[in-house]
Amino acid sequence: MEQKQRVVLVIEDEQPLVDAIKIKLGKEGFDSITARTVNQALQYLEEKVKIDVVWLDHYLLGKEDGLDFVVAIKKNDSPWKNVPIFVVSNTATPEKIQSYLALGIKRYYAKSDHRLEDIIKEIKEFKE
Amino acid sequence: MLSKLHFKAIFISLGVFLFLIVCTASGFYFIKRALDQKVEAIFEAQTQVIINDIHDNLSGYIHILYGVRGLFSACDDINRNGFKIYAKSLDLKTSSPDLYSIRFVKVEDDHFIVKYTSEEEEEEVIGFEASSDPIRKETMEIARDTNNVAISRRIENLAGGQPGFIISIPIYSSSKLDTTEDRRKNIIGFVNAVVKTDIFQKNIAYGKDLSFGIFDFQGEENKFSPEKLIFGSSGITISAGHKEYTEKKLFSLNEQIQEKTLTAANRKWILHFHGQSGFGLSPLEKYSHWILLSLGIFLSLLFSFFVYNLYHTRIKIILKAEKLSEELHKTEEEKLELLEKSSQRLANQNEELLKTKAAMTNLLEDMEEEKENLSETNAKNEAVFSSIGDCVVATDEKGIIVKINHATEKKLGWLSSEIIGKHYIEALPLLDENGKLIPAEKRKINIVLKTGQKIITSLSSAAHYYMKKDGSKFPAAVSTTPIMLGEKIIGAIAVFRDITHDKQIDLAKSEFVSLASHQLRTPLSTINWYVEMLLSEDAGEINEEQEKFLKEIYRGSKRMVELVNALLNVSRLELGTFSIEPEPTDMMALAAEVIQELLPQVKSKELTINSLCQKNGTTCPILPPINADPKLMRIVFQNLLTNAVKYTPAKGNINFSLKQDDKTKELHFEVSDSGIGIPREAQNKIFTKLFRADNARETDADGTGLGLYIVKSIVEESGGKIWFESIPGKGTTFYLTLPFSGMRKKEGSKKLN
Repeated sequence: MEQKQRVVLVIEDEQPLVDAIKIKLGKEGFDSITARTVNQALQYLEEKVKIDVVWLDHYLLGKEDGLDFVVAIKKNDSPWKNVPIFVVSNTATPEKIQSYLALGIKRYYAKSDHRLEDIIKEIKEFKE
Repeated sequence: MLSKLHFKAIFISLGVFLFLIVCTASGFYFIKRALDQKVEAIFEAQTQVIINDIHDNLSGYIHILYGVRGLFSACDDINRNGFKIYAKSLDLKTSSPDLYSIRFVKVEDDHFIVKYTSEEEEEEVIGFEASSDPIRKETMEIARDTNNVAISRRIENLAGGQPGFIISIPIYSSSKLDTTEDRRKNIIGFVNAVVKTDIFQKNIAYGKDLSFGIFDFQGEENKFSPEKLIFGSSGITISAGHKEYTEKKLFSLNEQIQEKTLTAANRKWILHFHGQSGFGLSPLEKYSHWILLSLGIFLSLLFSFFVYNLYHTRIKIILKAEKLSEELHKTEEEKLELLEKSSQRLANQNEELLKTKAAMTNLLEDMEEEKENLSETNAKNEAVFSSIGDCVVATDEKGIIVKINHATEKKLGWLSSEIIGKHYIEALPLLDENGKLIPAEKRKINIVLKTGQKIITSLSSAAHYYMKKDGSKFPAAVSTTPIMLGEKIIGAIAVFRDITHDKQIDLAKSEFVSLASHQLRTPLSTINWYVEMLLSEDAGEINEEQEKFLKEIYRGSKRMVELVNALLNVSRLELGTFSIEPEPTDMMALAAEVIQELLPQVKSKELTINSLCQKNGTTCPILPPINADPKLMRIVFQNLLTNAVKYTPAKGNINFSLKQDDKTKELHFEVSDSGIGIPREAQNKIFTKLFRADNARETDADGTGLGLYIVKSIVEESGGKIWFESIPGKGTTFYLTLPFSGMRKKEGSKKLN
């Protein structure tokens, strides 16, 4: 594809983690924009910001959670409909994972089970 | 007196019989005589008719002959044709059909030659010398000599081969015929009538019954010689003893015999008539005397029997009467006796009855008391039933509701009267969480009624909802049990309660655990990732000491993560909310995977791992899959194998085996190591939460103390067993059995991980 840097939308409410993720993404050649709530993330969508990947946590600030976000962008008329979504969260209830996968996310990672750089490497190598 | 009566009866009936027989016999003879007379009369008449008829015929023929002679007298010369014409004019066929022919015979030198014949059929007879036949010659000579009609005897071959006779009259040339001389001299010829004897056949009117013979008898000695027979009907035989008179018969009707004489021309004929017995009578008349006889005998017998019977009956009646009167005397006495006995018995019975009545009255009083007690007890039971806090529904053996308690009425909104009589499934429909109706065959009530099982659904099972009258639903924990009377299932009882509240609490607990784990893990993740970054030198180079310190931090953090995970699993186990989802699992492959993950450690410690797989005692490469939840089995294997690896010093041995036993239907799993073992005092605590033996803590600081607790819970929840043997300093072996049925599917809201 293009030689431009790919943009990752990181939706995560825990600030220290956001910083760590951004640093690592940068090191692997990604640009990133962050959001701490679903509404914030959807704002970017309205502004028609171009993104290539979504990094999504489940529990976020505000009422809505990661599932709500996925539902919103998977709507038929959404420009972000086909953007690959990776859910990285510490909640591991199988029902929630099933729901995410059913909605069409690409992979799910349990934070505490994986090293940060391993996750990013997999996202980087991910091909449709 | 008896025999006298009998004798009298027999005597009289016999008398009657004899009298009647005599009457019959007289009647018989009377009729026979009448019949005989009738036959005689008929016979006489018939024979007379016959004679007259024959006589008339003969006269007729003679008359015709005279007529023909007249022709010859009148004309001198008659030729053949003229004769024929004349003959034809006579129309013999009509007037005298029995006359065969008229012939003219000429005398030529003492020979009599046939010259003319009236019958065309016998032309060939012309020229025949009639005098060659002695009978004919004699007859014509007599006629010539007597100047009279002459009749011959029977001539065998006369007319057309048939027997017959001739009637001849002479024809003279002059009228001077006083002497025989003159006659012989003046004879010209004769006119002969040829008659067949079978003309007499027509006189037979009665067939076989009447036979007659015509005999040519001129007064000689034997009347009935064969050559004298002119004609005989069938039935006439010429024998020496020819009957001349009839015998009078006793029973059958008499035969008739008669002789009559017929004179025709110069000849005398005797007609001999023979009539059979019963001649001239109709068949009925012939036997009428017999009929009378038989009828008479039959009736006499009948009548005499009848008479006898009358007397006999009379005798019987007399006898019977005597017997009865005797019996009557006897019974009179007997009756009196019985009567006395009966009245005695009655008196006894009366006493008995009075006693019974008293006893009954007492019994009734007791029963009344019992009844009161019973209704009190019933009322109490009813009160107990009604006031049970949970909902109770009782059904009969078919599942029809017979009783519900107050709590049920309140909960469901139905009244007793609305529900009782309906089937349990109809009155309490069950829905799953999607609102779909659970089908009848899956309803617990049916299984309980059929098999007698007790089924208790627990809080943690998937939600089933009962529907209220108003259509709303509520989750229920139900225990359904059969009502047994001896061995028989006579109904079922379902006890249930609304667990909405409980479920909410449960949900809250689960949510708490979920949230708690999230909250605990997030800071740990932060620590981990930053340490990782530092170790990766993303923030700049680090020295050895810094690396060492950072690694320690990392290790501690990782340990925390392990602990949090383990605690989460424990809490789920405690709540009972974890699910088991069995699928066919290749256990060997699973174990191999787990070992693969441990390979780095195994290699660094230079441990030897041996694996064994057996089926019914025979080694095999793989086992057939059994139903197990692979995630849970993975946890089990991971724990046991990790422990073996952790607590076995370098260069040690670890053996694990997987054995399938078809007889006990179990899977056996063994892990043994040559490790540090479990000290005595620690052995009974090894499966408890957070417990770690001292020697384990020395060897490896990082254990949670929860692994074996989790393994035991999983194994036991799956229907299996776990135990161990250990010698400190030598090694430990853990044993595990799982039933083939595998893990039972367990519905739960959470999975362990």
